[in-house]
Amino acid sequence: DISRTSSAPASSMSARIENFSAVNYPAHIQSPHQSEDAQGKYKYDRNFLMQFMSVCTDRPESLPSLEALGMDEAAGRNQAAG
Amino acid sequence: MAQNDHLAVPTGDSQYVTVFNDPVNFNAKHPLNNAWTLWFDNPGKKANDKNWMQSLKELITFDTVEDFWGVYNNVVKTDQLAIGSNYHLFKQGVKPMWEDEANAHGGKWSIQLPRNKTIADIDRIWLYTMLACIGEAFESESEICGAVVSVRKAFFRIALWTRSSDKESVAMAIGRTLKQSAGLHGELEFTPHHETKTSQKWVV
Repeated sequence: DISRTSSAPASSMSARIENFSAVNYPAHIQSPHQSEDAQGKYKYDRNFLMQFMSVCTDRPESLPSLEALGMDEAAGRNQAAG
Repeated sequence: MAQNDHLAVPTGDSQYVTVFNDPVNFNAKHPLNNAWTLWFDNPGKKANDKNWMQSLKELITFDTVEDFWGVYNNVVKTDQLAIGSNYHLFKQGVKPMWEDEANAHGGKWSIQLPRNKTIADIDRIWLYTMLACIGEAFESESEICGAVVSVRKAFFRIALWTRSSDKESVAMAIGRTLKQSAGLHGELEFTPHHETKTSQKWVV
């Protein structure tokens, strides 16, 4: 799996955004409507969140294998049953 | 090295590199208001309490938007799950069971969706339900415990678990937001986890 070799560095060195006014999104990206509300809570609308779908595809290192969870078996059996 | 220090602690106003700016060498993630844990269970045909506890697996906990999508993109889609299985997305520290303290006095909004009419949409419905949770779409944030999707032979069920079950206006607002956020059609019903003396019925 070639994609896994490049996935660790970026995520392991990432910080949590604290100042949203300092983020410069590319022009085609819609900024969150309301990243922090009056109480300082982080809020994100669906349209903003959906933009990450095709970008954040790396498998988390701590995610157990689907075999260990019985999920691959689950999927196969479901398909077989039609 | 100096470059690593720079990556770990962005200080200046324009030093955030998001995944949209650089999908490989980004240095900043979008924090979620809560950390969330995804659970999975597939008790099989003998779904008694003991089997269920044994089959309940804690998959992973995440607290950023980027990490949520890494999880979503690498687990089995809802429409591919075996009959009898469930995904549970709960706030970190809350077990997806009635016995947990956070759920002891709570209840749930739920709706059953006919399997044959929903199979093409269920993964999107579950995704939108999760996005409403992690994006904090609900007015009473502290009321939300977690969400469940259940895969059954004849239906899918979406449920949203709340911390309390005695405040009608609070519950109704949550129910309406869930219905709208997840794009649900049909009637959602609120059910306390434990029987109450009142026979009131809340629907949205």
